[in-house]
Amino acid sequence: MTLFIQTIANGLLLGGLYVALAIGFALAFGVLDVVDFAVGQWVMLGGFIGYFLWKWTGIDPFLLLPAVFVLFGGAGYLLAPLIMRVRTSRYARPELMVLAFTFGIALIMRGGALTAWGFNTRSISTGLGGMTLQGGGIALPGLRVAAFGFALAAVGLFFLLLYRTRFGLAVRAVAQNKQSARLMGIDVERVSALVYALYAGLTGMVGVLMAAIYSVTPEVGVRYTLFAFFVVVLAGMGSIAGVLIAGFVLGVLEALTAVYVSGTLTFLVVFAVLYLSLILFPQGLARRGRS
Amino acid sequence: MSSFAATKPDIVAVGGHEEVLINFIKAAKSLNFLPKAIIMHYGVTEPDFARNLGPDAEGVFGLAVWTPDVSYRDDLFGSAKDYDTNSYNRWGSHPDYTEAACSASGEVFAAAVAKLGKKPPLSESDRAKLRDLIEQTSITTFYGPIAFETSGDHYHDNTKPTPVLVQIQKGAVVAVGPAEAKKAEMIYPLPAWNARS
Repeated sequence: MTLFIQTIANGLLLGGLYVALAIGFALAFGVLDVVDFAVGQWVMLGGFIGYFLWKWTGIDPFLLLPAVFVLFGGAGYLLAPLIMRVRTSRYARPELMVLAFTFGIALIMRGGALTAWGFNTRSISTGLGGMTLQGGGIALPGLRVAAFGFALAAVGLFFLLLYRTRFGLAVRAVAQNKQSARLMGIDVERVSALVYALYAGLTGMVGVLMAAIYSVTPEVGVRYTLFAFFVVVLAGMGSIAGVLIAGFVLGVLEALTAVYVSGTLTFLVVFAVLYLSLILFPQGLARRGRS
Repeated sequence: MSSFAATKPDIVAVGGHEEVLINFIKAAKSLNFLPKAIIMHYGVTEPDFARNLGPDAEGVFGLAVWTPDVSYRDDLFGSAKDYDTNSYNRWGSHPDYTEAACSASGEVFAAAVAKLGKKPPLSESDRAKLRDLIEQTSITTFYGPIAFETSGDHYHDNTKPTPVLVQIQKGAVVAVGPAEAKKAEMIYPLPAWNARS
């Protein structure tokens, strides 16, 4: 029984991170109509930049998170107009072209990281890495609990921004209908760029956490892209609330499979679930996404 | 890890390469899971392992087929210790057996080409002869004696080197077994996670 509770706990802790990873991605899709293939690479870059900042300044990575957010937000803000340009192009199938474009960005990021930093594994150590909360036969790694708390706080702030500020109102308006938003006087390009910046900043921070919990090499990006896709598709593309549920579903599913089935079958089970859920409800879990 | 940690094993053997091995140690520490010994597949001798984990790598066992302390030498690289020093001066880290083996492969190839007596580019039949010459290699290098099996389970493997049990002690890879090859006593059981400096 203890093992079951431990597994659920592990899954929930992991799920929190997946939620943080996917929520920016979901918003970017909802607002910019862009499926960003590079999401996992933002995580990977976040891990590397976090590692180098930590090595360079000696400051605990958790305290570096705001710096990473600002750095990545800036990078995202600069990149967004390029992506928007491809997405709003009047040539054939811009929605597919932007997919190819972001795939290209992903390749550049991965190749660039490999060239700049080599294939060696980097791993961040934090003070929290040594702490374990133990009780009732369950061990909760301190670092994962902190990362979970951080992820929830970030998502909470995100929701506050979306539903309690004028900027959030503008974002939701753009997500609903770009034309009408523009007619209402909203600067769609600026809002889109800021949303992309938010997404890049958030995803970069998740990268730092991943590098602290696990480790980072230029190859880890693909895995996180897969996870982000899984969460967002299960939630229903465009549904932000669904991401909350789907993220935890992924975490718990992964944990349960690793313990009770086999570690090697996690991807199989996870994607089988996704496949089934797409057949049964194509709009995603929250029944509000676009299929 | 939660599932096998619950069975309270004394010894855990981990297969995989560097990234998996580093993640394993980090996960074990975060769950406060401490078996008496952790034996890992190849990768423990990689400088990144000890560098990334710091004191958490202490006491982890690994396997190596060459360490800088072996007594072999050759004319090109000198002794194993010379190779270690030169490699460190050139690359900033101590070589493990994979690096040494790569250098030794170059020597094998050079010896075979010298025996062939021809300069590249080689014709198709020359390349076939070269392959046969490589198969017949029997040389001694700083890496140890090299000769390839011509049949059986280890076909075309170099079965001459003696595997050595190594352990990370104070960030360095130290040979701890077998008795003829050991340079220090092994640390057993593993020290507690928060009792390390």
